[in-house]
Amino acid sequence: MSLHLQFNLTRADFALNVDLQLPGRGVTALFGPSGCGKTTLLRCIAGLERAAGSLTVNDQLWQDVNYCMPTHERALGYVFQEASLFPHLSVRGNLEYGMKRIGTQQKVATDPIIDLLGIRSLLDRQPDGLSGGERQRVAIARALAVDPKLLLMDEPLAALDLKRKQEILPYLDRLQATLQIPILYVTHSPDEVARLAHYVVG
Amino acid sequence: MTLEPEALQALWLTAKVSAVVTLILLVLGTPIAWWLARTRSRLKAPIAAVVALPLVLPPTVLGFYLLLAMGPNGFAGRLTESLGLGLLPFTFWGLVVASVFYSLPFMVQPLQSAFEAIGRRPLEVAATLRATPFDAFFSVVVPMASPGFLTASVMSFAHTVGEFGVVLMIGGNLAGETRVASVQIYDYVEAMQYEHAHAMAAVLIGFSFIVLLLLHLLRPKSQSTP
Repeated sequence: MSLHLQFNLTRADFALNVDLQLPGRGVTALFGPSGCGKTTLLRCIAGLERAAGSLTVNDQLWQDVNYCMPTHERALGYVFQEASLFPHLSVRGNLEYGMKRIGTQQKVATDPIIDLLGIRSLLDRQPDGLSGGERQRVAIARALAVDPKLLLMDEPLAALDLKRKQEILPYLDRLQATLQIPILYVTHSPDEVARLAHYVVG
Repeated sequence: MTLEPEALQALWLTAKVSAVVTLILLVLGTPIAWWLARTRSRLKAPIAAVVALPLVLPPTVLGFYLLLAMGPNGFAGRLTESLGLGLLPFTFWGLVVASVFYSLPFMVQPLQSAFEAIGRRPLEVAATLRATPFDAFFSVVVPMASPGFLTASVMSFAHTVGEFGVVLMIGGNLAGETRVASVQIYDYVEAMQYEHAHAMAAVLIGFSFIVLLLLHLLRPKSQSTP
């Protein structure tokens, strides 16, 4: 497992040149002040935004000069800053949304994911009735349920207050200790870097 | 106050036209509204203005141009004749086509607002969960915009029920074919049959009230967008 990316991002308010070789597992923090292009970089890796560059994951080409794989074909999981659960689906429906759309041969067992994030008791609830921390845990579980080869997390704690952060951090600890895939974690919080990251890109 | 057979016929015809128009507008208006909600094209403003034109135009103006276009010398008329469909003015389908234009903004505008309120994020989430854009539209956008679809359909239906000027221009006044409720009421009044006009007018008032009441009752209390 490896990830190699090289992007030249030029936007109105910043220019970012990145050339990165990421290890096969562990948490790599993209760390820096707000507005320096971390989120944009993550969105480019997911194919949600376009920038000149190249990207190879697991020897599979995701983007180069001539080609850009659409987001829905990339084997990734993405956790947005706001949980962004589908409001018309239950927690279970949200988890199953992606599972129904991946090939059957790569179906993952959801039980370990549900237990890892402690959301078993929430399965039949609607997103409306969940707390911010609960929603974000469901969003992480939903991203993992599609058996991603790469997990992208865009400041998953930034929208939460301190108490909710404390509630969710232990789950992230367990996540990075359990998962066998690389996690790219965008944050501007030194605490989160110190606690979770194995590698830091500043 | 009872409804005469011709009144019932007119009401039934009105319901039929309005239902067909609403179905056509759902198919036609959804992609237009989606495009308007998402595009950054410079064509957005002119297209939005064209869609909204029937809101401000006198229906007779719209009906007049449609009559010309669908007539034997109009481009639409030549097309329908060459396809073996004959000419559309003064037929049921001519009425339907005209009403589609007339009620278009009532379908497109509520849908466009609903799509704009949803934003890009749910689609991005769906893409990261392996949904193709087409799949995401039907599995995420449509259910999330369902109150918008309800409003748009009800408004289109009700607005088509209420049309008068366009019908007179394009459909005339043929019993069972183009004589809709509003035209029938006009006929009654012209013939001084106020009793019959009253009965039909009461039906339409009742219908409009019930429609608007249902719209308010069915609308979810709070539309939460994450």
